[in-house]
Amino acid sequence: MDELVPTAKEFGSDHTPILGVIAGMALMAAGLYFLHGHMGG
Amino acid sequence: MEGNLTTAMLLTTGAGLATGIGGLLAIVGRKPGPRFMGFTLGFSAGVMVFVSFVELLGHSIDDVGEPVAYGAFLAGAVAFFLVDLAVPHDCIGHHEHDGVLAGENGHGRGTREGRLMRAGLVTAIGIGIHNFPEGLATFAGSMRGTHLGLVVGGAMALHNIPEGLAVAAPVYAATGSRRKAFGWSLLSGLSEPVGAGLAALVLWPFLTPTVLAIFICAVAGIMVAVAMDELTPAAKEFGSAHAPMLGVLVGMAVMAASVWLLHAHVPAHAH
Repeated sequence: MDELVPTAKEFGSDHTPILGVIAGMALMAAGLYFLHGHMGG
Repeated sequence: MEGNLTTAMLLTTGAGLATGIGGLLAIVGRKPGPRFMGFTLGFSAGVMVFVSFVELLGHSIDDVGEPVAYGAFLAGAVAFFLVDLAVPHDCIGHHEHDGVLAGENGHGRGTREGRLMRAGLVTAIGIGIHNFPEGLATFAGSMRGTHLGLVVGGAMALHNIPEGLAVAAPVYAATGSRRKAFGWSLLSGLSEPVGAGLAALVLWPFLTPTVLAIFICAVAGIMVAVAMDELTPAAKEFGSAHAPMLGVLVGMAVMAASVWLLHAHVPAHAH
């Protein structure tokens, strides 16, 4: 929040950073789901 | 049920309007400088992120399971992204005003003020939606008994103060208007008595725990997207290097204490 998002915003594209955040969260959500699914958590 | 309808509505209204206290905290004193604004916007982002991941998403996973909760959360974030695409950035809240609210960077004020105004309004709507089930909880607690209602209502009121601050800070930064900032913070809390009123009248049979949990996950997704896409970059633009991150940490700490107090003093079924 302190470095990556503001730096991403500085590259000029208004919408790409939040799309990247959403894609990152989706990837982690899938990762967590599979991890918990296969570890019985 | 031991409680009566009038007491329940009064307690719910009082708890909801505590957002106005947070709004007052954001606007009292002289016109805030860039460091204060960076801090309060960071504070708002910290509140939003902590509440979303810990209070909203965390609890909803228990109710509907990971796939549904994550799906609804991401759907909320994508919905925000689509609205972000559809709404031109310069068309909202393009205000001209002087004073230190402009920050130190100076450039792109119109765009930043538009983003801040939108952040404030989306935060108000997000917190308003988030307060809706809290209104249901306070109402339900009050209808079970005045003592439980006071405990739940008091905890909700404490919980709502930083949320009011989170709404008022970006609106104040965007418009420079104390009245608008306070008004929006107050309005975001009104959804609690509205939630209680609707619960009393019509919604009670339809709001199943599953529907409510999915709805809350989507709200969490919207709030995280707002914090990431609007609040944090706007806080950084005010020029102070460390105040935004300090605000994020303090916001998270205040909400952590508030959530802990809520859970420690309010029975689990009431929130």
